Parts: sequence; structure tokens; C-alpha cells
Amino acid sequence: MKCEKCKKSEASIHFTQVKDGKVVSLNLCPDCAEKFGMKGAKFDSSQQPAFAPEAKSDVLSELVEGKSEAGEEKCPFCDNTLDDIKRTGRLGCGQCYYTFEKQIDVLLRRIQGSSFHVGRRSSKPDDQIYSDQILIRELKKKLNEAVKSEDYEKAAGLRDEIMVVEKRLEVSK
Amino acid sequence: MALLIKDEVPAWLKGSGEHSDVVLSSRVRLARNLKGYQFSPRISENQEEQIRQEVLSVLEREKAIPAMIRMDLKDLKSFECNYLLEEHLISNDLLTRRKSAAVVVGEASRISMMINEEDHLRIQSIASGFDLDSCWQEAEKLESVIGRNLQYEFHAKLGYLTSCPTNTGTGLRASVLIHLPGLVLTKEIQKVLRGITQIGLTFRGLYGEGSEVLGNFFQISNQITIGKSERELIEHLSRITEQIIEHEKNARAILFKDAGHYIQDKVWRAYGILEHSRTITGEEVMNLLSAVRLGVSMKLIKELSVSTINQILIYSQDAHLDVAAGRNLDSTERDIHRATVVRSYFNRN
Ligand SMILES: [Zn+2]
Ligand SMILES: [Zn+2]
Repeated sequence: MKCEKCKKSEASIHFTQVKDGKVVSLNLCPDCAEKFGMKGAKFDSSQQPAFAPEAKSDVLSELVEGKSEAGEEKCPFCDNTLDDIKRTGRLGCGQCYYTFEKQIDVLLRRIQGSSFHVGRRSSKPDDQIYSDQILIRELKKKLNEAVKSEDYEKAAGLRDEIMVVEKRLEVSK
Repeated sequence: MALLIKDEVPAWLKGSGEHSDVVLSSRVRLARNLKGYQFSPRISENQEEQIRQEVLSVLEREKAIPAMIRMDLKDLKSFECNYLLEEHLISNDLLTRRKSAAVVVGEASRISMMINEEDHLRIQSIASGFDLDSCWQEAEKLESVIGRNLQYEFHAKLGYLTSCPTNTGTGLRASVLIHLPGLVLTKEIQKVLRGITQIGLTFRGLYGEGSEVLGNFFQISNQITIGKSERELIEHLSRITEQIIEHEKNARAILFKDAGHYIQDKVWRAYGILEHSRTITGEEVMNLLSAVRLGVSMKLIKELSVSTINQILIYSQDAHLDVAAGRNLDSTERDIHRATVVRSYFNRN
């Protein structure tokens, strides 16, 4: 995972904090972490190692605000807006994942380094084949877009994902 | 229905299983939500009640959990809820949802499930010692039974959908509860902990997020839940745990070589206080037990087993003392009760 500040070095400091009810996470390289006053911070307090300490809070709000222009779109099933999700750090329902798929995709890549599930799947085989066929169509569409906009790194990632799904479909035939 | 306590000691306290002198227990948790219901901050009490009934009727019909007992948190006193917390059967989060929350527990607490936690279902399997594989198998078995009867929220690309995006994908949290006095005393611990946070793992104290590290017990778990399969996540944690065990054992050997008298003194003083104290705080018990545990696993102390120490660790905690007394003790009384309980384990053999 690349550092979210300089976007160059490998991020080795993973930072999670609950601030005003929001879950904020940051992945930084040691240099950038130091710049923001977080040097060795994670381990100074032996009392509560699960949480990172006070970093300069403007860094955090800056990162949260950076993503804050999604408009007033609401989830049709639970009425959640993206702001609600940011405020609570929680999704309102399964449908939220579809409604805000783009933003959640970005978020998952940022906090988890991936947005592509490769584990256990629904134990109902019919569901699985159906959803994989839809998934492949979507991934191919995204691949075309990535190639068109010459984002080859993204395209390569999508190609890998398509291969995984194709293999899965092959096996389930 | 009140608190149901089984006579049997939970299986994870038995001190059996691989490396049980270093690894106290292994745990696998799976988060699942049911399709068609909103997630916890949004869900209505009616919906939660429906979920509870639907899930319980599946469990009963399928006989999914042998010797299952079930408790609704609204029927329990607050110290009884804390008792379940100390047994690792429920989470702090579930305590904040007492109106509609329930927990079901199988034989010897090997498998359990929280209903209406942050996610609709939290399946948990826990084992003594270092044994993540069997935990995974148990959890997966229960997950499948429920999945055959009810539909989970599942997204073709993102996997299992959870209330918090830090659980999305597999919904899996695998963890080991590990005792690392050697690494703490040799001051190697910071390096080890820093190392694990750089490879997708995380650590915390004995009782979950934000809990203090007491008695040199650390919970190490996977931080990432998507992009790798359950097996890969578990294998990764297992591999790293093996390395940490190795480090810990080396650290202990070095300590005994370089500071044998100091360590022996520390161990035996701790033993003496636990054996003879008349009033003692929970924190002190935890820290002294850490030293005694080290002494037992280094074969300095032969009078106690790892299993006994595990039991003292849990049965000397506040809510366990309250439950044994049948009421909410004040803190002065509780420290006296605690000393009595601890001493009773020393006089047994
Ligand atoms: Zn950087
Ligand atoms: Zn929603």
C-alpha cells in the first residue's frame, strides 16, 4: 500500500482513530508520519496500544473533507446519505454498499488495500453463478474505461480480478 | 430467563492444545448480516426481534449447536452481562444493545453466537492453545447451517456486507490470546508489535478494542478482511504467531541465562502473594499471575498447571466474583472475595 500523503513510499504506519464518532484511518510512510508529529507515537503509550494517539487533528479532518462532495444522494432502503455514513463510520444497510459503491470501493482500497473479495461465497450455488456473471460484465466495463483513460495500473488490477472470477465460473460449471 | 451457568469449565481454559504455555486461546469470529434488514444503527426494534426469532428457530430446527443455551440480555442483571463479557462470550458492543441482544452458547463454550450485535450475527469459535484451524472449521460449520436456511447480505465483488467497512469481505476476525512476558521484560515487545502492524495484523489487550494490556497478555488478530481468503488470513496469522512464539521462547531462555536469580525471585514472590493475600485488586492478580504463568511454563513451579492459572485468571475477575456471591459486591468486599478465590486454587494440591 502506498503512503496517502506523498503517494510514493510504502505505507508502513497504519493509523486508526475514532474522532467525533467518525472512524478515521490513514496509511502513511514513516517520513510523512513523522512530519505530522506521529513519530513512534503508536507505541509511546503502552497503556492503550490498540489506538493511535493524538496526531495533529487537522491532518485527519483534511483527509475526511477531501472526500466530501458526493451530494445529497440517499440510500433507497435506509435513507442514509454519505454524510451519515461518514459521521457514524457505519453503513445503514446492505443496499448502501450498492448506492455508494464508488465511494466505498475507494474507502476499502484505502483502509484495507483491496475491494475484491476472494474468500468464501454464498453457499447457494445458483446465486453464485448469477452474481459472478453480473460481476464479470461490470468488471469488463470498468476495464474498458480504465484502458480508455490510459490508467494502466488500474486496468492491470481489473484484469487480475476478471481472471479470478472467470476461473471461479469455470470451476462451478 | 436468568444467567445460565454450566458446571463445565470452558474448553478454552483447559490449557490443552499446542503451545498452550504461551498461547492461551485461539478464536475465530465471523460477521454476517441477513438480507432484507437494515444494519444496526438504523434497524428498528421490531426488525431485531424478527431476526432473533428467525435465527433461533433455524438453530432449533437444525439442532445446529449441540447442548445449546440461550440468553436474552434484557433478562440479565448488569453484573451477569459482565460475567459473559469476562468469559469472552459477548462483546462490549453487545452490552450497549441490551434491549434486543441475545447470545447462544454451545457445549463448553466452544461455539457461540451473538445476535443483534453491530452486525446481525457474530459467530464465534474459541479453542484452548494455538488452534485456529479447528476454530475456523467450527465457525464455518455453523455459518453454513444458517446460510442454508437464511440469506446473508452478500455482494458479488465485495463479499459479505457488514455494518462497518473494516469487516467487509470475509467478515473474519481470527485472533490468538498470547502471553509474552519474555518479550516485555527484554524490551523486545515494541519491535515485535510494530512489526505485526506493518503486515496487516493488529494487537490489543485482553478485552478487546482499547482495553489495556494487563499481565502481558496480548490479542493479535488480522486487520484486513478483504482481498485474501479466510484460509490465507488464518495461515498468515498462524505463521506470524509461530514466529512470535519462537521469539518469546528465545527471550525467556536469555532471561534465565542472564538474570536467572532476578526472574526466579519475581516468580516466587508473585506466587507467595497470590497464595497468601487476604485482599487483592484484579489488576494485581493479573500482573502476578503473569509471573506465575511464566514460572509454570519454565517448570520452576510444579504445584500449579497452566489450566489452573487460566481458571484463576477468569474466575478472579469482578463479575465472576459477583455472580458467585449472587449480588453486586462493592469494591472492598470484592477484593476480599478475590483473595479467597485465588487462595483456594493454591490449597487444592
Ligand atoms: Zn509518505
Ligand atoms: Zn442503506
